[in-house]
Amino acid sequence: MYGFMGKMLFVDLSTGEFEDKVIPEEWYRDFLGGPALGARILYEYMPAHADVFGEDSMVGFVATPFDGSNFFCGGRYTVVSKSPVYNGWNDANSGGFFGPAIKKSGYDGIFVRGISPKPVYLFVDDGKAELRDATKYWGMQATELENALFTDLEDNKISYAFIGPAGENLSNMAAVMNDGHRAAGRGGTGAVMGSKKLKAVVCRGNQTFELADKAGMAKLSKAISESLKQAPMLQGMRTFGTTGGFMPSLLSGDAAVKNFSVALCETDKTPEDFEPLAAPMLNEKYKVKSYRCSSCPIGCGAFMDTTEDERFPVKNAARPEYESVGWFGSAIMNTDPVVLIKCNHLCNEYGTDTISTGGTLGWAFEAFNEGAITKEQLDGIEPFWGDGAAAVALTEKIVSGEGCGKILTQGSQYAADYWNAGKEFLFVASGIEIAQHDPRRAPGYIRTYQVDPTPGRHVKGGLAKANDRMTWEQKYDYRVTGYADLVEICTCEYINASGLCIFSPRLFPPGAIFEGMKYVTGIDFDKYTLRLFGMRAFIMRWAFNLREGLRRKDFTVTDRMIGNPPMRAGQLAGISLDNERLVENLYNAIGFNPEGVPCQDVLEFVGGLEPVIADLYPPKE
Amino acid sequence: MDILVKFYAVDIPVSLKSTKFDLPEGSVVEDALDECLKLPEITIDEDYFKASIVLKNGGRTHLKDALSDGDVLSILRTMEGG
Ligand code: SF4
Repeated sequence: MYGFMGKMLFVDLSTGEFEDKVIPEEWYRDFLGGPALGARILYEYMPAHADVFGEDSMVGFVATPFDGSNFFCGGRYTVVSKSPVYNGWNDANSGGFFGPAIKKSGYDGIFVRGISPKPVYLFVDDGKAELRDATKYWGMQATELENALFTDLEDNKISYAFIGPAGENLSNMAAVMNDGHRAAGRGGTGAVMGSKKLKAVVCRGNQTFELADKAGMAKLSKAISESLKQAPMLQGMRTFGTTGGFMPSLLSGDAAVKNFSVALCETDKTPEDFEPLAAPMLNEKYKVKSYRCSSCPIGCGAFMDTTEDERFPVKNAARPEYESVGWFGSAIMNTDPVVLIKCNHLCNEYGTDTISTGGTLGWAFEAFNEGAITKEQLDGIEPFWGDGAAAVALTEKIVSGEGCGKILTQGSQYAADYWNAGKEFLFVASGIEIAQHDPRRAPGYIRTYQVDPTPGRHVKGGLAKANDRMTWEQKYDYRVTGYADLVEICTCEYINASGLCIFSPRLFPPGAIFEGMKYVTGIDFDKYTLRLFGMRAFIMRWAFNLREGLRRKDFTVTDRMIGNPPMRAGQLAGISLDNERLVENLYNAIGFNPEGVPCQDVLEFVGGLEPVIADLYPPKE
Repeated sequence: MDILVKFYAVDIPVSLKSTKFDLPEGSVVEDALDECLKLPEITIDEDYFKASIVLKNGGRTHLKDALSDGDVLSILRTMEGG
């Protein structure tokens, strides 16, 4: 088998047992890697209705075919588990170096069940796995942990996934971090690791795998390098990263203003007031150097240094990504770049998802300013719009889980329920906060946010991508959206399962992302097989939710997200969305019934979904 | 008439921040976009470029909206991810 190591590592933390598991070859062919293969494996080995923090609950670290192949931008890995936020399927991916490191250590994925009696870390060293005491690391933040691991293992070339204090505290927004400040942030899988007392998974090794066509791969890499020189996005990505998207998003109504409640023109601030948060000024004042993921020719990350600022000095901080700039910037009316960098850094050090942290912060700001919660509930902090010091103080509470942070660290939905206040300010899908992409601007997002198997995600496939190529009039025409939605889903499922960075299709020549797969694994994708693959991957992830008893009605979005009532001013004035129609259109196109259950014929047609058929359509006696 | 076009876009080279066109009376927003497409820095295909969100003097506008002397167009092209 080309492109894979051919085995998975299964670890039981309760018993301390290890197993090298060889999964059927067709699972690789049908699901490739990452979230799709992770879903197939958890469907097989994790019992239905397992308590998310119980012994039977599993967490997986899943590599992909492109990991370790040196294919450009193909170094991502995915964490999979049940989500403590909405008790359904979760997957989240991350770049850095951990994906390739999983394979170099000898495996295509690492799956952990059970609960350790004391903090441990898993060390997978060139095919040998070992559980080691992590008591001394428990409580450590990202930088301290990295220094300790490098020193203790006498090796600064290891790659590792880990949790910070937020994961140890079972925060709903706990990320699985890796390689310093990279994050598989969404859905709370960090808390699942915390519940298992698993502080980190460390990988290293020199194991290799064979490529299906080495010469073809070399030729393709050359062609991609050439075409990258002409790619309009390259220079911008290299210089500014995703942070470069902030100003267009703010001006177009994509980014939040006051927690998505108003348009910028209704406030006392102008777009120019926010320019200190935009990438050109951040770079000019604070950038130290760029960084990149494994085998990436772009390098969209940057380190920042604010040590000259007396209030919030930070060294080696990551430049906030676009999503973080929105949440720690315009969403709370903060225009101070040092506050932005500090809040983002706190998330990275404590190991929380910046989107859920920022979304909860934005909700707390609005709830306070609208009188729904008081400073007494916030430990004396008064988060008036734009108050940077209050933003830092509250973020510290959220990520550390101290004081009012004990409530807020479980997210905005939990806090609104706990205090029975400010529910009208929530901007959440099934209880999870939303990225800085207002669905009222690109309505395709609302379908993805509502009924992707992982709710609330902006990096999952769907119509929103197609919206980018539509005029305003076309975007809000809901008559025929299902097929376009499905086409985008299929491409995105492929990208995530193959290990590619989501930006690669916009940078590479047409077809290159599929050609690469042929040279790595020998698997040839055409329009037909891509469509089947995408449907299979989507259904497999969704099937986990179905088996938990979840149906379409259990996946919700809030009134504000659909423009009920609509915005009064700005680019999105007067817009309301018909989210249920968009869901129905997709369900018609993909062959689901109105409750969100795939029909048997579709499951059989797509193939590779036998256990789902057995569960949904058991043979009649 | 003079039209100023500002670019806020992730797929247009950072060196191109803004440009000015002298367009004939009666021109519409789409005419300004056609002029943009003649710039060597813009290598985006026509349909995709014309689907950009365009603001006229800070407000939402449409391709067939008329332009007046001194109008400022902002071309917004966003990205997901991060
Ligand atoms: S473009 Fe950025 S996120 Fe994507 S692989 Fe390269 S460095 Fe990583």
